[in-house]
Amino acid sequence: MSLASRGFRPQHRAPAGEQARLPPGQHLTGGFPVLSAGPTPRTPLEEWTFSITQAGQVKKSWTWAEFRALPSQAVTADIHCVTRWSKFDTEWRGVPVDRLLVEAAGDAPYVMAFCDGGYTTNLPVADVTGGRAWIAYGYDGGPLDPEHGGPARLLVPHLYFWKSAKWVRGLDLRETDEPGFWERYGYHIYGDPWKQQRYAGD
Amino acid sequence: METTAIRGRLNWQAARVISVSWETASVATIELEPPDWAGHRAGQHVDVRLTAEDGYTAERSYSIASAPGEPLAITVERLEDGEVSPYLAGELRAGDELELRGPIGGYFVWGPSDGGPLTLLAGGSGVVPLRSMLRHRVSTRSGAQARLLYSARGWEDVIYRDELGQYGDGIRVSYTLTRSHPPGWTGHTGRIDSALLAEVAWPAGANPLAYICGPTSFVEAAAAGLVGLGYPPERVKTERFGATGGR
Amino acid sequence: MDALDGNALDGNALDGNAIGGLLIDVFGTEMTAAATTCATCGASRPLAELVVYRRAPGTVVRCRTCGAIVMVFVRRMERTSVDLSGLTSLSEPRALWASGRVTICPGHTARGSHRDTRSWYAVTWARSCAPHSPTCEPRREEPTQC
Repeated sequence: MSLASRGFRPQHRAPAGEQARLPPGQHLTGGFPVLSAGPTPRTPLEEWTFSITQAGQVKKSWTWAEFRALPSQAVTADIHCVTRWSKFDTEWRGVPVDRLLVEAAGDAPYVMAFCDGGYTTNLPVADVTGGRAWIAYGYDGGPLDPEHGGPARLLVPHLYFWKSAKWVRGLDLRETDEPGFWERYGYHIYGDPWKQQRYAGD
Repeated sequence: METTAIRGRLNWQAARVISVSWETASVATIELEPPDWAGHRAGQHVDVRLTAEDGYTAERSYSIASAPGEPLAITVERLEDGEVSPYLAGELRAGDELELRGPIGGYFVWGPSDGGPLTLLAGGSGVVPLRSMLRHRVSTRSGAQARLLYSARGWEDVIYRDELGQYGDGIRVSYTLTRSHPPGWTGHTGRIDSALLAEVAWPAGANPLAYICGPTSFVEAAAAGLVGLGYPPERVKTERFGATGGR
Repeated sequence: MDALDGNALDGNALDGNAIGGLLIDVFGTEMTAAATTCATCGASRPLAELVVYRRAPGTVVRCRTCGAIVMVFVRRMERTSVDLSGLTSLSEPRALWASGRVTICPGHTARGSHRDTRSWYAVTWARSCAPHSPTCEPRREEPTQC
């Protein structure tokens, strides 16, 4: 282990009494770090659609106007990035994935989220239903910034935040749990921060 | 055979801080003494690592400010929301130890054998590796002519101000100030553009070698500008610092 | 200039200079001046001129001309894994290791020499490999030359 740097005290401890909210190995951040694997996509809203697909078929698709007309929810959640930063009480607005899957009348055990820029991530349907996931278009009282995934991103706060895919354009219903982008590079197939499931085999 | 000599040079080591001196209100030059240092080339950088008592670590890269043959020094701009820079340019003191490894870099480097003439374009703290190159040019008495165009927010943000004003023949320094300028300022203002480059940079016909360093957006605009003036892309070397000036 | 210029104004984008230290960890030598060729569009440039995204669960390196991913590095404790399958060529003639040089040629799978030192260790995937298997082990190989 490297020597300690005299006087280096990053502000990352959770306030007294809130330690239990931090999953193991995480620290709090004051900002909202921007992590990306490529340039920020800039899809014009008139071209944006969100789709539920299965076996090459579009089961249901919404334009931006149709999507924004759906009932939405305010969500307050703690979020946890696999790079070890966490943020408490983040505020979002989004459409529950439950609603979208019901309207699409699709049935499958797994989904692959697909996004502008080519990013993908896989999840069990059980983890994006039951009130556990949203397609979020609002953050902190305003529209979601492009660098944070706007116009809309998947929001699944109970898993590591790489599962909350930015610039999401749809969910593809799958029979098997195939690894998405980071999962193929060795990150955990599920990603539960409370079990520190960062890498495959953890 | 194992190249252990090279590996030794690139392992992390605890360097003693010899001095911390301030170039501007928010920019400090830190002179360092690593126990195992075989020298460096102008334009290279070091990786620095800070470790908190609970084991949390943060790493950043900083360009080497000193010329080959001079004691190792880095220049750090303290960024408002930075994690590492406020410690280096704020807390660090002579006598402390700082973990680093290096020197690193084999592309964005200059030595007399690379020749010239040189077009050097600096955006903010991007001037640091270029200053190493200019000091090296001076101390080796290389004949390479150099033109430095330094873009800074204001005159108070110009790093190495006195030194840059003292270079003699063969090195021409120009400034463009993008946010504020002192009364009576006769230098350039505003962000660099093709017109400014056409006026200040070596013409392409001189077969110059260009080094551009600074925030990503600065480097993109400057590189496009030089290529637009006719510089072959392979004669334009770039080093991007990201949006905030640090890496 | 190039396809990514507008998007590269994205302040997150750095260049290959920023991963000089990482490359030394993986390849054991200075690599920023190495010659690369993109497998998607064929563009050639020094590694230092590739577009680098570091603030992610891994380091993603993209072609400056077409934006395709050319390299991905993922660090897990003492190990860094590297995927070079986005390149058809990566060549640093000045680098010589005990077991040879890294060369990827058209039609060959990406291979790399590895050294099982305590500080780093590389596993490469070829484009023809099956999706990542957590039990991938490095192979000691004779150098391949084209």
